[in-house]
Amino acid sequence: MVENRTIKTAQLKVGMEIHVELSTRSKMFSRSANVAHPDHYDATPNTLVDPVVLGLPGALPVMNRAAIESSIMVGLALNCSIAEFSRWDRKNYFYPDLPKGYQISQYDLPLCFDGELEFIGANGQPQTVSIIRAHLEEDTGKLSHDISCRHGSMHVNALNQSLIDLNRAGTPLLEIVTHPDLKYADDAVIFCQELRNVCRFLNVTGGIMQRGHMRFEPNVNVIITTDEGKQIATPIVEVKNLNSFKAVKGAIEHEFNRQIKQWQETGLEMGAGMKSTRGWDADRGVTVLQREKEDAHDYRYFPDPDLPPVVVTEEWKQSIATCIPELPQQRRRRYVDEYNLTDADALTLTTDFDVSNYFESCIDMLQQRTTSDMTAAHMGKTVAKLLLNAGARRANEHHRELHDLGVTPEQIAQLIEMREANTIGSSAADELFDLLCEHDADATTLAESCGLLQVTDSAQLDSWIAQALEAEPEAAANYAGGKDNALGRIIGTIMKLSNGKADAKSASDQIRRQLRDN
Amino acid sequence: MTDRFTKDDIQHIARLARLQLDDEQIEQYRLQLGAVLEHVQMLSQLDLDGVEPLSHPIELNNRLNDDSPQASLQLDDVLRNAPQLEGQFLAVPRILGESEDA
Repeated sequence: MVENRTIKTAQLKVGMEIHVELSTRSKMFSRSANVAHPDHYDATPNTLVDPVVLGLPGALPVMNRAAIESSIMVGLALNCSIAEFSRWDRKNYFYPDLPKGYQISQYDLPLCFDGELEFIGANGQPQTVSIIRAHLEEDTGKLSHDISCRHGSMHVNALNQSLIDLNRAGTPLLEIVTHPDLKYADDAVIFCQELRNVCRFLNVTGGIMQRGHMRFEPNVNVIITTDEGKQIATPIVEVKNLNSFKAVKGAIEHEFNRQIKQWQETGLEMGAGMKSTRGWDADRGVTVLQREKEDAHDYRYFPDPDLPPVVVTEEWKQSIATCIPELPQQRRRRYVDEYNLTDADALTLTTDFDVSNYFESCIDMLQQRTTSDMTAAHMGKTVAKLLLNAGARRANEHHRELHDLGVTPEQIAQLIEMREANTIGSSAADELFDLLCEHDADATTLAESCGLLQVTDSAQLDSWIAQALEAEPEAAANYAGGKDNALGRIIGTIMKLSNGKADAKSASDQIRRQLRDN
Repeated sequence: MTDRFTKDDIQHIARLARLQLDDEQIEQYRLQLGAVLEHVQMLSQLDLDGVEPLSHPIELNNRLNDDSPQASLQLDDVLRNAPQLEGQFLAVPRILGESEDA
């Protein structure tokens, strides 16, 4: 009997495993410098290696306090419970990137568990992903199979080798595992971005994707409802080692379509032994079945006898909790409450750590400099407006991030002061913003030398007004006759004549006096 | 008694340890490992009801290092025991189609 495989609805179901390289100074279990710390990003291969990393006889691991505290901090930020007692286990497998023959990890007693992270989904609504656990382990060495960058292409095949750099071996690695709560690829990406953001706010990782500081592994399947109302779950696929958000989105979307098609063709459903592992081929935009490491699931975990357990007292936990800075969510709320920003604007200014800090620096700078009586709320709102209008426009045109446009917070503060003092008009301010992106000069000097300062000088204004009234006799008559909206046309002409330098408000006042008050 | 392990078991364990064994060695280890397991099996005679599993015999927790790096090994020393090198890298037979694990 041929089964009816007609699909009524298909719902994506995604859980994430996220690996975060912690940027401690030294390694997880030994004292060599950590390649994930900014001081050592570009260390020469195999120069951050010690006897523990090499697995030399007699070498003993010792836990790094900072790695444990960073992990607890992430756990607390994700609303996790922190285990009072956790321990280390050996995950045994032979592979050239792991000289010891086992990876030290946490198996049944992870450091952090049962948390959640709230974020604003693609539909603008808040949603929550549950965190199952976050456990600490050590990263492995780095294997390169593609050696064409170091050798002439003629050599690649001749060499027939894989090359090992052990600098990364022993870097503290926090593995965060979520429930399969995500239903859309876009939401999965936003969740991953938010998680990265939280980790960067906590300053526990460089978070540089290109350097592999964060690696994402979505577990994907599809819940299909057939025409007959039957619910079917497709076999779960784990996509390994994605190191860009684009790859996360692409891999999940591809799996969604592929699994539906696969079910239509084969009828395969989720079940024991059905889970498979795939890799992402970015060039072709497809996932590819990976040959699994032989006996990949026979890791023979057992407690590591070399390492004593970790006991986290309430006191220790509290002292770590006090080091947690303002997190993106809290910052967002503050922007809405204190600066009166819309939810959407507050979100834009907090979804990237660098952008958010830049925004904060601009406000700080304005507060330090200003002699006017601007309130804190007004300052926040004004800086936000400038960055989200002129800044966003420029960022968009130049494909850059807001914080990376070349305008210093001091220049932003100067520009805003000029606007507040009405020494520059709004369109000239836009122009000045662009100039500031390209020049180091202070805003007033630059505006002056480029002739952008607002003209309030009455003789000059009078002359423009006279010309404008002459050019627009009809509008002048209408305005004189009581039609307020005719003024816009006259002011527009004045702005054109003055190249945007005329002070629109002074001009309006002047015209009202001339045409109406006598 | 001597059948605690099958030939397949031994082959599986040997593969995990990346050991290549001939038939004679497989039989030898099958018997030896069986004897070891049998010896350890004596523990199952103990009444362990209500006894918490113990992973470490010494009551010692939180032996922590401060996060300050110390000198790494000299590159020459790191590479000294490697059977094959390629520049500053350790070289192994080409591995393809398998992912890095973490």
